[in-house]
Amino acid sequence: MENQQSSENLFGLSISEETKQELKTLSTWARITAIAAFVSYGISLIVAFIGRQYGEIEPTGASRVGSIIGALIMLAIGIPLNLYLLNFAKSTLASLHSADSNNLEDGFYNLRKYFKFLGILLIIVLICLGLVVVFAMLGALIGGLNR
Amino acid sequence: MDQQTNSDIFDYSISPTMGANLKEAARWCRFLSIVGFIMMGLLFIGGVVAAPTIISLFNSVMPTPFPLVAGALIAIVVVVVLFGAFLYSLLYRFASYTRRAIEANDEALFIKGLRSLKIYFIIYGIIAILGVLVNITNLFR
Repeated sequence: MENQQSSENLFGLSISEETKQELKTLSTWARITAIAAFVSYGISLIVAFIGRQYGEIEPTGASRVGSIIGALIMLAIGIPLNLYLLNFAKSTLASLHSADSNNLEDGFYNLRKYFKFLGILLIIVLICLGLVVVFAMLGALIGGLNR
Repeated sequence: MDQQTNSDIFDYSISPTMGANLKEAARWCRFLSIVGFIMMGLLFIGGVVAAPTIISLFNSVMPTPFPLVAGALIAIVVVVVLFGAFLYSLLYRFASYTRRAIEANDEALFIKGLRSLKIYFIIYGIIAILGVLVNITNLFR
């Protein structure tokens, strides 16, 4: 071998140390983000059940139910979303440690799922916002005609 | 043996399945970032349009220290818009570099894309940690 190979074998051929480092830092932070999100959801749920509501001295039943429903919706959306992120981080870190391309493939698959989930969520939010605007305009129009 | 070029990673290491996954992730990221930019633009326009109303409202409630409050409000809107635009620009860069890297078999572009996504997750991670701290504060309030 004429020139020394500076990069490390990962998938049968080579991957540069720089790419490996970027993937490692990226996966580490993705894992931190996902874990922090899980902890946050757990605490939010506890706060919703036993905590004090904003601007209230003693929480009423209605606001308690509202905050519990809000926390459950957040949990239902956030858990699958952050599971994708956590799986991406776990698989990518595992591939960097074990030099297994299947793990990296799994990692990228989870990254794709993560962003797809976010995108679909955004589309749903935009549709809801659009409906709110349409109904508000219709309401104003009907209100104007009735005068 | 000749020294391997950077593009080898894509010729042999990134399988077609990985490439397809990365490309789709990049497509969704592009969509998210473009919608994010539009949202930030609308937020800025909304802030500019709503500013006179908010200013007159504050004028009637607290006439004396008003310029400070108005300045703070405008600064908050500007900071939020700039911060959001920066985050979405990172997503857009990841999407753009990754797509180009896969099409051109260029590892340097792939690294640039990964770096953008890394910065995005570092910022997002710090925000998530701050979120945990806020929630803990709420727990013992």
